[in-house]
Amino acid sequence: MGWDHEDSLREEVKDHLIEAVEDVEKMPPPELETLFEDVYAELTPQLKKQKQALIAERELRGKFENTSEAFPL
Amino acid sequence: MTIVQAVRDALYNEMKRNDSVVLLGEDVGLNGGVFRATEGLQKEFGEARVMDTPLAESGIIGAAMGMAVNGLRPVPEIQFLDFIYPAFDQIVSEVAKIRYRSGGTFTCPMVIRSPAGGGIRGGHYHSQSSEAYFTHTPGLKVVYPSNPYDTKGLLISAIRDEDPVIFLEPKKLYRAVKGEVPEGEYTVEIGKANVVREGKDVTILCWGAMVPEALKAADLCTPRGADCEVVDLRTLVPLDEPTILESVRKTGKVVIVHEAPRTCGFGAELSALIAEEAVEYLEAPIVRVAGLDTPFPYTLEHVYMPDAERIALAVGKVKNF
Repeated sequence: MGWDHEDSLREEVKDHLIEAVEDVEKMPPPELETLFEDVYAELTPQLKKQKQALIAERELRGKFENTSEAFPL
Repeated sequence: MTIVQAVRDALYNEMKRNDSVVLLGEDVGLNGGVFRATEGLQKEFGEARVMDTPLAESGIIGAAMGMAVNGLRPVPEIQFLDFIYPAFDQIVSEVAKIRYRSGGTFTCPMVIRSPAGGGIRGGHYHSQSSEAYFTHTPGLKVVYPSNPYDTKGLLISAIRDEDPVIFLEPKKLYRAVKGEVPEGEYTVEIGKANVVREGKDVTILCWGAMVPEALKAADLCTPRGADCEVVDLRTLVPLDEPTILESVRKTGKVVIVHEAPRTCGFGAELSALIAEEAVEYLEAPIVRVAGLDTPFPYTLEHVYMPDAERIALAVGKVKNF
């Protein structure tokens, strides 16, 4: 039957996933420009405007503090 | 008490007071709610009044509507506002319109409670603050408190209200904010904003998790030369126009803050209202500090969400116009 094959496939995929997560977690945070990528195929005028504004704000502020709370479970 | 404790306290009080008040939702019964908002309530009031539902939002709201139309006072929970869209047809086509289309023969008193907003690394589908879809739907009331005292009082008012209420709870503040909450029952009136900080230079209009940020911004602005008035709207529909306009007429300068995306966010409605009713008092353009017109991000959430410094920069912009 196919069950043995399924088990080893699961293990292989799981290892792949763990490796991918570890790789990404080692990378530095993405640039803020990436916030605007892939909303649409092409940036709309509004998004271009918002992107300029955020870049200008970054010039002014230097950095953005991480103000996130823990998931409130 | 925290906001989530205030929710639980309101539910407990109303369920004790009125046998028709029932709860339903995913994990609300046995589990007590993923945020513990309904902890112990099934044990206290029984499975017939605190019901665990399947993972099926349109079923949750549809069933709740059936209960409401037949004389119960259901308080269904949508576990994260991001999950509400399968129930959108039930809410917009049915719940919001039943009184109108039946000429008052049938009504639908219910409160749809849902944690909303970002700031807890929830990513695209656990962070949305999509109040604008509901403020745009006649027949619904939309309430969005920012602190424990208002949360309990408004939730009690919402449960007693004869109309369907969308009750949004700022999950970022669920445990982060504590406040004095009286024991027993009390109400906070739906449809009334609250001036949480008086000031003479700039009006900041905000709600939910943006209220503490606006207050922090006001503190940043004082040494920079701007005395800010912070108005916590508390209810979005029906809007407290007199309180908002009185503040705008006093200061002549407005900054509106919301975490939802800018385009067609509720700030747009407020801007139009102010322009229609108080343009002669304005000394500067109305400025909105809002989320980007993108899906809510994960890693760069703290860049996306309006924070005290960004609000303070906007205040500076209108003050120096």
